[in-house]
Amino acid sequence: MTMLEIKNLHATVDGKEILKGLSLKVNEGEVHAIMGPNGSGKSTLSKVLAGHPDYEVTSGEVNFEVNLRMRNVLDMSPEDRARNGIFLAYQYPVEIPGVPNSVFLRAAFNAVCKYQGAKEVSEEAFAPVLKEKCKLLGMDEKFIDREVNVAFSGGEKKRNEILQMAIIQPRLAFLDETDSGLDVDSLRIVSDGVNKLRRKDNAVVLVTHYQRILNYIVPDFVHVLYQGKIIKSGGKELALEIEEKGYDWILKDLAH
Amino acid sequence: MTTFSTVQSIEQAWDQRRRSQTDEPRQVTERRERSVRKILADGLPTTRHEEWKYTSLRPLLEKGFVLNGSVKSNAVHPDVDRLVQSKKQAYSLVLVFIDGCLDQDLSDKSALAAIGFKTLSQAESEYDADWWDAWQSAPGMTGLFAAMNAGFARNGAVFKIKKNQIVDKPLHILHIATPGSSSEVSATRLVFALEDGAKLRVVEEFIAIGSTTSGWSNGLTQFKLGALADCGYYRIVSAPDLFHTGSVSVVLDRGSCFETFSLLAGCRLARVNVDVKYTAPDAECIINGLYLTRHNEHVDHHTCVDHQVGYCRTHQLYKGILNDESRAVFNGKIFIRKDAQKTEAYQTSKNLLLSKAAEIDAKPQLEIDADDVKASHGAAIGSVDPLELFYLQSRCIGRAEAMAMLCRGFADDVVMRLKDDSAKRLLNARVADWFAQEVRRAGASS
Repeated sequence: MTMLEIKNLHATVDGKEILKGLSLKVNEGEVHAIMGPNGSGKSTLSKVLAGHPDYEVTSGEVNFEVNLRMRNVLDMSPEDRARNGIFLAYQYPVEIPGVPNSVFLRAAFNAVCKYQGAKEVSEEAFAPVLKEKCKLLGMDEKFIDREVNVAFSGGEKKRNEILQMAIIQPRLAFLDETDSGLDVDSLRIVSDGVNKLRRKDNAVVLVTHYQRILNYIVPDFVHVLYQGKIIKSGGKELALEIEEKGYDWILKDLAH
Repeated sequence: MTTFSTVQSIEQAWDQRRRSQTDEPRQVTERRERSVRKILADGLPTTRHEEWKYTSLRPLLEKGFVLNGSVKSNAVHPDVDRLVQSKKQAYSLVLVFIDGCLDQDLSDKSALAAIGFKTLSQAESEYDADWWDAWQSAPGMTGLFAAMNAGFARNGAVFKIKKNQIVDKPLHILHIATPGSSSEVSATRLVFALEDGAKLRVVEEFIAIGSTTSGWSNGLTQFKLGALADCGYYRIVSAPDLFHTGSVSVVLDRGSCFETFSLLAGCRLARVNVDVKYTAPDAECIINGLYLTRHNEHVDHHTCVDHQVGYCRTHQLYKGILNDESRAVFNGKIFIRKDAQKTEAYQTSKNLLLSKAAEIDAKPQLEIDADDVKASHGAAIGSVDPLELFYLQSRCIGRAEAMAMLCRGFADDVVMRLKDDSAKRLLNARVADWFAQEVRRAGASS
């Protein structure tokens, strides 16, 4: 069943058009990878989807399945997009001084509970849940008491994103260059974390520069984004081809 | 009865006091008079005065507070006892002032004796002129309100902490304003002399019974730390209709360490001056503060740290959150004199404006005459960071809740730096109270 459908999306930042007619369809249970050279609009797509205030959608549609009905995401506030199941793991997670991770994660969890009509959980009830998720992702419990992302290493920030994903349990996870800046061990831990959270009825979109992460999280589809549009789609072998030959051959093919 | 309204009225009040206080030792009266003469010579400042540019005395002058009322018996209010008892559960050393008068019955008299406690008048007659003159010439003592306190304060306490004496339990000084007190200035003076190696924690808290109790408290709190002494001083003002002026004066000897925090979380008009002077190397001062304002509150912090000698360290962070039409002033001076080589001094002022009508005047000031120092200063004024807000929203948290969380985080960032755990808990609770009131307010208006 279709979960996300993007049709002819145009978006600008600071008045400059970055997305120029992007279309993409993601079904339940699928893993998609979006690759593309620098400046092709990969991060813009992620941010537009999450509702970042700096990005403006000028035309096109983004629809997301909520309770078996396709709903217009662009009309929703960032929190409502998240509550309905869209999650963006940031390329550069934001530091929030003074707010402990535990407070932040419980607030996120309770916001979802409230939205779904469930009872909110107390600090005491939440603590074991958090510990369990940390364990699932092989994370040190010291993450819990630290301020959100403050003085975290690059790898710790990325892991913290996946911890948030484990707490919120989204239906669609958009991972924006989650692999960049990770060493081999961290990459494996983060990928394992994502794989453990996969279910038949959720989907993952990986935005990446490198084929490397796709060895761990194997995609069903690979798309090439170039100048704000998807110019080629294929199976996982497309990623290997790009790794080997770069993007030039695709552009040349297009020109013919 | 004479009110605080003009220089003439201050002079008149002083003359009356001098005539009525015939039992006071002559040198005490003379010392007090020197402070009053200083005020008379300077006159009352207007906003044309550099130190008073952003804070007008007008609201205070218009209230007509009585400078020299009759000595009151302690007001009896049913809530006083309950309030003090609730504090006593957490702190076993309590000193209570009610409407500016020392209440010995409510205070822990026997425990206080162990830390060299004397009432102000006892100490004035028992300690000699040289001893007092040193306090009189301490930094900040020529300021208007410090001088007014030194001239007129009848109530107060003096503590001498002996060499290497470590006082485990924090001393909690409570200034309680009762509803009947509103027309008089309550002036209390506190003096803490820590001998070499002594250790003490002091919480000084100004509160009011009844949310609309107004009044004016003019406190003077002085510290002198001997070599290697260690002192924490945490000052809390939370009484929305109170006028509050406070002067804190600190002198630091070799290797001593002073940590102070000023929390202003509710005050009609507040002006707090903190003056610190280093007299020998290797001393350290951590001087932090937080002001939380709303409605038409006006709070003003003026701090001045004077590095006269080298090898001392100052760390200063003041933060403010301003809502509605409230105003705040931060003026922080750090002087690094010519001989104060190898000084380290860092000063930061950060402010969060939650409303278009709120106003902050922040003036960090660093004057360096030495050439081998590490020093920095800076001020930041802004609203909540939209990227932080978006980050929380994209994690399902609603906008209003995200705003509250970020503001609380902004405040906690400075509270959490406190080294003393009991002070951290106490200040944290007061900050939580303020935010709970904000949430109730938001709930009521939506």
